[in-house]
Amino acid sequence: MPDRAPLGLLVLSGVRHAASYLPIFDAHPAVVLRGLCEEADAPEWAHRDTRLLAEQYGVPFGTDPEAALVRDDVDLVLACSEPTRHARLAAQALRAGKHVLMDKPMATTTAECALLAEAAAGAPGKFTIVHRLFAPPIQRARRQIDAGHIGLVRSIDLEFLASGVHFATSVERPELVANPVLSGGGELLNFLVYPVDYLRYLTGAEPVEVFAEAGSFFFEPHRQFGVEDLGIISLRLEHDIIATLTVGRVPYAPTPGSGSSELRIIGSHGHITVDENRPQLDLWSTTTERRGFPIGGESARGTVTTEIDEFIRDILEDREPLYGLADGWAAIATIDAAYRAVQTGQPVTLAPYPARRMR
Amino acid sequence: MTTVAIIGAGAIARDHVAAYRRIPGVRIAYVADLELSRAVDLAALAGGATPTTAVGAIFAAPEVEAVDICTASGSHAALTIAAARAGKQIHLEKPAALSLDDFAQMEAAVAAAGVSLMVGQTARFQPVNREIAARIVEGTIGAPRYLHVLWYTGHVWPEGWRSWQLDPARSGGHPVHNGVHALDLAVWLLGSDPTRVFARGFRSFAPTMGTPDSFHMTVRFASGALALLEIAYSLRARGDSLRRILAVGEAGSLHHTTEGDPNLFSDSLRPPPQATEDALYYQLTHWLATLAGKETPIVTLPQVRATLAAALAAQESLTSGLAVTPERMVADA
Repeated sequence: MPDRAPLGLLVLSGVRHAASYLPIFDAHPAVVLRGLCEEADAPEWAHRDTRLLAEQYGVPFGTDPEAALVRDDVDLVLACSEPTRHARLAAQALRAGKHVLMDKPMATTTAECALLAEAAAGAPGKFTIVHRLFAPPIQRARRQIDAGHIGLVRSIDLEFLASGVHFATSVERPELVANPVLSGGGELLNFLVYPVDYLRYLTGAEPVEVFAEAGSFFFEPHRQFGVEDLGIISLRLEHDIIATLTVGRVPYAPTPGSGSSELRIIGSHGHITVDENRPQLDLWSTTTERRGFPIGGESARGTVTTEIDEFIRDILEDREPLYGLADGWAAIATIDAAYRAVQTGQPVTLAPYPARRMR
Repeated sequence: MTTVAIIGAGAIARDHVAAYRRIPGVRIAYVADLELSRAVDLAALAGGATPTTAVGAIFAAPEVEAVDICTASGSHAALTIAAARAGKQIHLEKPAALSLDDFAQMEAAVAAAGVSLMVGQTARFQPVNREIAARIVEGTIGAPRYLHVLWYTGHVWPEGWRSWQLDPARSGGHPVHNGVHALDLAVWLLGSDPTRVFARGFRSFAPTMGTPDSFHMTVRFASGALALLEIAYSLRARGDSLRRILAVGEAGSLHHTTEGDPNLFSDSLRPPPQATEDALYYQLTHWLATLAGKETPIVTLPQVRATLAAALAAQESLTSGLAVTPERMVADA
């Protein structure tokens, strides 16, 4: 590590995934947690969750983000609210000149993307959004494609399914993914960012047109709020690459873990299969149910750790993060198009967004 | 003993003959083809069958109880109608027809003649799909709401550019020619008819192919269930195969992939996956058992009609770039 003062971290709203991100920051030698802050008019449960985390880490809890963001000993902000406040909180932190890591999705509408872009323009801080591109199986597939082993990518089948049996433990409140006031939409908004990121990262091509079907099939919260728990999203990307994504939450995804993430990539000169849970070690035991242990560890857990490590290096070494505003916007524009396709029953063209070729 | 005549002596007819040879109680009396030499070659494998180019003679032969139509798709309607009028029981290779209008006339002809018509929807008879259907029927996963079927293969089209399968005017396009397999499987397993179909495709090896050899179909069903059906003939090596099926229900999921399945791995032979082998044998065994009154037909004509309507919709979607409602095509017909 460079010989310099540690980066001071402020958590701006500490709900949902904050509890899983904070241990990673806390363990990082270049970061010191300064405190957690929640907006004064945020819901009571958000105050409670954020305050609890502050107590757990023994740091101050505040309710005045403006005051917290002018502190000189705060360099870095983790914006980790419910999705409908993501863009506004991240924009506020960027305007305050801080480095910002925000939870996904970057926004819940393309209008929020534009708002965030305005705040990011000229902001001195580094900015990134939670993604999963550092997952070892995705990195491996990218290397194989870059090496030319499968030629030109022609089609991708991507299945990204969370197991509902873990619904109670994977998100602390079902409303956070089902109540549009908090989530901005259903499971497409919740999950589709990751598969769209994968497509763009692996192909270097931008989505052009989207068709989608979706429904509320399995879970009462989704039915209650009228949002989808499962969808099929068919995309045409540049170079006429076709991709179909199955995304959502089902009673049991076809994997022993919390969810499945599989890709099948067909190229002009070969194909690649990717399974973020495999290869895995199978356990049959007289004392537990059958279990599978992904070899190399859980992909999702490892990728967030890597992303946080990499983002801190981006800050310390003045590098551009792998994933930025244009990438988050591309994902939201695709989700926006998917929802419009569900409504119209026909394919729709993506609204313009400032595409950036992923490196 | 059931006496059968095979009409058509191409590659699929050869597979039928191989299957019949394993089934007791069936005799192949004739093999017919437009080219006598092809009929002669196949008849030689069929244990004393008479080769002929005269289909009319087969229809007139009283000892022929049933015909198995294995010709190119464009002739299915005319041959089926003629066979029905001759009072023959009929097994017909997929796709049943190239239009819903043709299929309606075929249905009318078999109904008027009081004969049976079974369309060879082979996917239902693949062991893995029989297993999945049985588990769904016994309620293992509750009501199925999502089905993902994936067939990837390294395929070489026979006869090169002469291949009729590549000509949409003669095959209906690949969604009709082979898409009916996956669509029929979905209609059967989900127990519902497609109401909206959207398809995207690509041409793997030659941009001037008459039909995309690879395509994804997104399908909505009357029950609200969804299916993603993928067929790709684009794996590089001939004989390569990747098959996967996932059925998600309200109480669980059923999943199979051929990745990691036991098999023969040898330069001398690339056998098909064990999970799908012998489907034609089971299919023809079932057909003959239905003729003997020992089994109830599992492939019904309304299901075949729904599948064909969806396949035609998928082909239209490929060319128009729009989602297509199969009912509209029924109304058009």
